[in-house]
Formats: sequence, structure tokens, C-alpha cells
Amino acid sequence: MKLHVNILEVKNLKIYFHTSDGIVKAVEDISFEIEKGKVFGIVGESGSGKTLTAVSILKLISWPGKIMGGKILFNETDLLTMDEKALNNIRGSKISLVFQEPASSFNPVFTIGEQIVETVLTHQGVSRSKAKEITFEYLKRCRIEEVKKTFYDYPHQLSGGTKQRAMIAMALVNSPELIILDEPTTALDATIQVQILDLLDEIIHKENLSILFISHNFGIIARMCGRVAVMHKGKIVECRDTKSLLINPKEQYTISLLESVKALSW
Amino acid sequence: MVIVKCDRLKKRFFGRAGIVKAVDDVSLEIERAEAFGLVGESGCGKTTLGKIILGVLKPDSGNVILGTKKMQVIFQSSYNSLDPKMNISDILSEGLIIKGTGQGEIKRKVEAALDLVKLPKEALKKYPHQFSGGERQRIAVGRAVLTDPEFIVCDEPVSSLDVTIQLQILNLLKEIQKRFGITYLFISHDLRVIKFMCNRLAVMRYGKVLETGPVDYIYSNPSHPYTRSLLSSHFYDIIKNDASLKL
Amino acid sequence: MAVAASLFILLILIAAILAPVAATCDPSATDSRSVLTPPSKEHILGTDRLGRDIFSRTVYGARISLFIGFIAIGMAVLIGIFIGAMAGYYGGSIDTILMRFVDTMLCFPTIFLILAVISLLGPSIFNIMIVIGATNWMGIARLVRAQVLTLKERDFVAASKVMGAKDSWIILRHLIPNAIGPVLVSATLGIGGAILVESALSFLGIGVQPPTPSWGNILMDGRSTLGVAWWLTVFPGLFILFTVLSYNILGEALRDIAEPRLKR
Repeated sequence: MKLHVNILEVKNLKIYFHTSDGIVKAVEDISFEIEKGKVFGIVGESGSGKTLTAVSILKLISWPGKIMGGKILFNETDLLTMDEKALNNIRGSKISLVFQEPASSFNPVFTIGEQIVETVLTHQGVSRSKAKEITFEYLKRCRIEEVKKTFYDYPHQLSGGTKQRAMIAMALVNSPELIILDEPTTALDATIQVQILDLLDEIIHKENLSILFISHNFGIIARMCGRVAVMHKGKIVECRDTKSLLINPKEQYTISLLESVKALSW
Repeated sequence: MVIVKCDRLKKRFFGRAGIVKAVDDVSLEIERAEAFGLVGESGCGKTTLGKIILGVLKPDSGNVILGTKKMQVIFQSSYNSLDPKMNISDILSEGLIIKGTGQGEIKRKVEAALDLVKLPKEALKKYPHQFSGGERQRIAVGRAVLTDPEFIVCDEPVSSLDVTIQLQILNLLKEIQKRFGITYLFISHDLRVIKFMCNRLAVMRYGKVLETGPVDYIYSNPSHPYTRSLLSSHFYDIIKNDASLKL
Repeated sequence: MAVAASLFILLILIAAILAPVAATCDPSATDSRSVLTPPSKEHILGTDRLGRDIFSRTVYGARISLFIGFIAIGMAVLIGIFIGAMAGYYGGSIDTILMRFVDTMLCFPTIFLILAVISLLGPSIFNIMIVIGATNWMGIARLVRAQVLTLKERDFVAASKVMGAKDSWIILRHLIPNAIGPVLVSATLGIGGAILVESALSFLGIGVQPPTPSWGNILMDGRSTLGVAWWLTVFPGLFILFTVLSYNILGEALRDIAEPRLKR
């Protein structure tokens, strides 16, 4: 009998890119599990395949990239065998995704409010006014100061930090079971980054969510994640609980990564 | 001995939201052969200040007094700072050609620069897009050092690089400074990088300099609350401060 | 398709350059015995009413038409790059003045301008080239200006300035090479257009004057004898069609290379 339930199990995932110069094995046979209610991190440098892994969970890979094999089990159902219709029900409601660049996730010609209301209406069969109410509630929960103003603002009128909070609100609004965060704070200033991470901390505790956190920043991973997988050139090099990985890195790549981090710290 | 002196510099920009005081009455001095850090978050004016010092932008008022004409620059995005239509040989020799240096001398210096930044001779015929970000940044460093400058402005030179590559480039810059005695103005939002490279720094916010002083001192005794909040947003503290993690 | 188009263009170019070798007969040699003969072994594309071999005339005509097309568009490109670069780089009042000039030129209906100039100055190959060139540079100027506006903000321009580069150096060495992409596309498409204009003018009798052969004036000759000697109209017409089509296809292909779009 399983003591811990896994909300997500990735098994032998392969993502290849079919370029004019040949096949690039961007993600090569990786496997990992995320326990329900826990925060799992993937850390790696650029080109390691971590972002591809994140977007592949929602099957958002487009040509010339292709998922060549493996299973992605969400609550024991393989997402890779689902049809588009079923997947659309999951995207944005059961599993949501927060990208690195809030600017590119929001459509510039619609207001923030319109876009969040849209996703509420799509996934919850409520009236427009109720959807608006829910939106306001979540904007507030994400500690946005001027909720009404932000609701009626267009993306370009908001600061980076506010946009990212709105993105997180949009990811939460349908009470997902799993949130995937891909470098959610990288594009933000240091002081704002701390605020966003504090917010995420709060939310994790309140809502009992499961989180997949992707970053190249070991410090952020160390702060947020209980378990972490280190990715390098499409493969998972090490995958353990964060503390023991930091104290006792086993693989050469992890060691050299941590050494570079250490060298620049004080 | 002061090599760069900024006296009450001001620069405004006219943006969508009205007038932005990018640089608001900034005065500072940089000593010869030191590495002076300019730290602040995006929009604080540090890049604008760097461009004014370089002479690329003209200030609305105030002066920049330079103790040298031999200045160079290294920018953040090597993708943007190298002309995609020029091969590496042309990119490296551009500065010398403009100065009117002879062909033989140019060849010698270009090869020496390649050596210094540890790139192979084959690189000369290639184009920027054929290199990785870290390699491109090395080319940018080589270009900056070729003309024997006395002062280099480094504007976020490692921000877009992976942490292992960052270390390589920073070490290269340190080595160059030791060898040639070049003065650096090091602009960055990353406090770790500033600590690694610089002996003195200035903290900027909203166009103003909040405090200046030796890096070691300010990092342990910040006087301005903003500096304190910057220092506390430093994530790698968690790796060091957690007593059970002995790194 | 683009490969086929390029090969065709190449073929015509080679034929045109090597006209004396490619042509089977002297294009101006008249032969009163073989007037208006249909295509035969001796005269591959037939003869006209003066007994001149159509194939040879077409080959020599290619020379003229292509020459005019290239020089005219070449002029347009040079003018366009110069004006566009100046306007984009210096901005301010220079930009305003130059762009209003461009707008003014765009307001003129080019056909009428060309007709007016030709009737004033007389039809000659030189005048035709000048006038086609002078009415085709505006689009290129706008393209170049748009490119230069973004390019001049790039860090490599700032780096050059720091190294002491003068404006002329930056414009010639950095801005123009990087802006040339869309210009190439525009120019290729323009050559097709120029050939068409020249053919139209020659067809109307105010372009290349006989006896110098051009595809347009061979067509003009064929007008009166269309029912009897179809080869006088069909063949030059086909050449114009395929040549212009090829330049258009090539231009579109260049555009696709310059701005690759994901196919699926």
C-alpha cells in the first residue's frame, strides 16, 4: 500500500527536435515523481531541457519538437494518451502553468480582468458576475494592492511584479491540483522576487497544492522545494531531497554547479 | 588618482507615463585601477549613467570629467553587442581599424586577444551566431581589451549567462584587470557578482545614488533601508545560513 | 518552385549575356523570302514581317529588357538606401523632410509620370531606365528607414561609437549590411515590375525604339498580324510572363528565407 500518493509521475519521457541539421534529443528518457501536496523542483542551466519538460506535461510541445515516448501519469491517468478535448479540460483547471515572462502570457489587447474571467467561465459553469467575483477574490489573495484598477488594466499598464501576481491569480482561480511554475521570478527585480516567493509560500500552505518549480537558481530552489531533480543536457543527473543534495552532492555535474554558486556567494 | 569624475549629472527621458528622471543629480568618483560597482534594480538609471560616462548619451546638465580617452564597453547581451553580419576577425579588429593601426599590428593584436580569452584561431572566420552565449561574451571581452583601454564599463556582462559560465567570464575579467591595471565600472543588479568583482560600490534607485563606499563595509553595514532590502533578497543566504548545511 | 524559377532566370541571363552565341541568326537580318513564316527548323520561333528571326530577336531583346530592369532597379535601390538610411539614422527634421518627400513621390501615379517624362524627353533606353528607377525607390527607402530605426539602438552600434566610429562608418559598415535583407526581396520583385513597365512602354511605341529589339516592341509588331502570325505575339508574351513570374517567385522565396515561418 502506498503511504504517499503521487500526483504526477513522469516515466521515461523523451522529447526530440527534428531540425534540418538532424535530430536533437532535447529530453532523453527522464523519470520523476511529485508527491501530492509537495513542492518539487527541477534545476538546470539553459539548454538542459527543464522548460521543455514543464510544457510537455500539458502537451504544449509543437513542431519541430515532438514527444517521442514515455508516460505522464496525472492522478494515475496518462496525459499523453488523452485527446485534445479532454486535455483542454485539464489545462488551466486541474493543472495550470505560470510562465517566466508575464508579458508574453497575457494577451496585450484584453484587460487582465477579461482574461481571468474568461478562464473561470471556461472551466467553471458559473455566471459572468460570479466569475468576476471569483477573479476579484483571487487578485486580492495574491496581494495585489489595487484590485479594481488591476482588473480593468491592460497588461502593459502593470509593473512586472503585479503582472506576475496576476498570472499566479489566473493559475489559481480554478483551484488546480498541480501548478507548474517555470522560472516565475527570473524576469523580476530581486526585491520583487522575494515578495513573489513569499506569496507562493503562503499559497502553498493555505491551499495544499502540489507544485513543480523550475529554475536555474539554486538558491530559490533550496528555499522553495523539498525535493529536486538536477537536469543537464536532457537527462536527470540527480534526484533527491534538497537538503541531502546540497550537503552531499553525488554527481560531478551537481558538484561543479554548486561550486560555481558557492564561489560567487559570500 | 581619480580617473572618472561625475559631477551632478542629470538626464531625463520623456516616456508614456510622463517625464522619467533616469539620472537625478549623481556625483561620484572612480579611482584608477579599481573596480567600482554600480548596483541597483532595473530602471534605477545605472545603465543610463554608464552610457553618459561612455559618451554615448549626453546629460541634460552636469559634467563627466575623464582622465583618459581610452574607454571601452562590454554589454550584457552578446547577441546584441556583436554585429551579426561581421565575422569575428572583423569584429575584433574594428576598433584598431578606426584608429588607423597597421595591418600587421592588427593581426598581432587580434591573435593575442584570442589567446587571452582562450578561443581558437578557427573562430576568426566564424560569425557570432555560431557561438554560445559564453563564447560570444568572451569575444566581447576580447574586443574591449584589444585597443589597450584604461577604463572599461561592464554593463551586466554576465547576467544572461549560466552560473558556471558566469564564473569563467568573471575570472577572465579579474585576470585582465590584474595584468593590465584597467579600471572597471561594473554595472549589475546581482549583488554576488558585485561582491566578487568590486572593491567599492554605489547603490542606485530611481536615478539617485543612495550610498557609496567599500563593498565589504556596505555589505555588512548597510545604512540605507533599500540597501538592506537588496541584501536580504539574496537567495543564496539560505544555503549558507542554514546551520545544518555546511557549504 | 523557387529552384525552377532561379534556374529559369539564370538561363535567360546566360542567354542574354551570350546573345551573339545563343542567337541563331543576326537579329536585324531581313529576309524577304521568309516573311511571316511559322516556327520551323531554320527559324525556331518563326519570322516577322521583315523576315527577321524571332528567336534571335527575342534573345537580343532579353538583353535589353533585363539590362533596363537591372539598372533601373539598381538605381532605385541606391537612392532608396541613401534616403532611408539618412532619415532613419539622423531623425528629427531630416527625417521629416525626407519622408514627406517620399510621400509626395508616392502620390504621383507612376504610369502617367513615366509617360509624361518620356514624351517630354523622348524615348531612349537611358531615359526609360532613369524614369523607372526614379519612381521605384520609395518603398525601399521606407523599408531601410524602418530597419535603421531599430538597428541604431542595438548595442553593437553603441559599442562602435565607443570605439570612436564616425556616423558614416556606422551607417555603411553596420546599419546597411543589416538592413539589406528586405531590400533584396523588394528589389527582386521590382525587377519583374520594371521589365513589365519597359515592355508596356515599348509595346505602346514609346519605349525601346525599333530596330533595337525588346520583348515589348516585338509584341507591338505582332499586333497587326495576330490572326495570321500568332508566334509573333505568343512567344515574346510567354517570355515576359515566365521571366516576371520567375522574379516574383524568387522574391517570395527570398522573403520566406528572410522571415522563416513555421510550416506546421
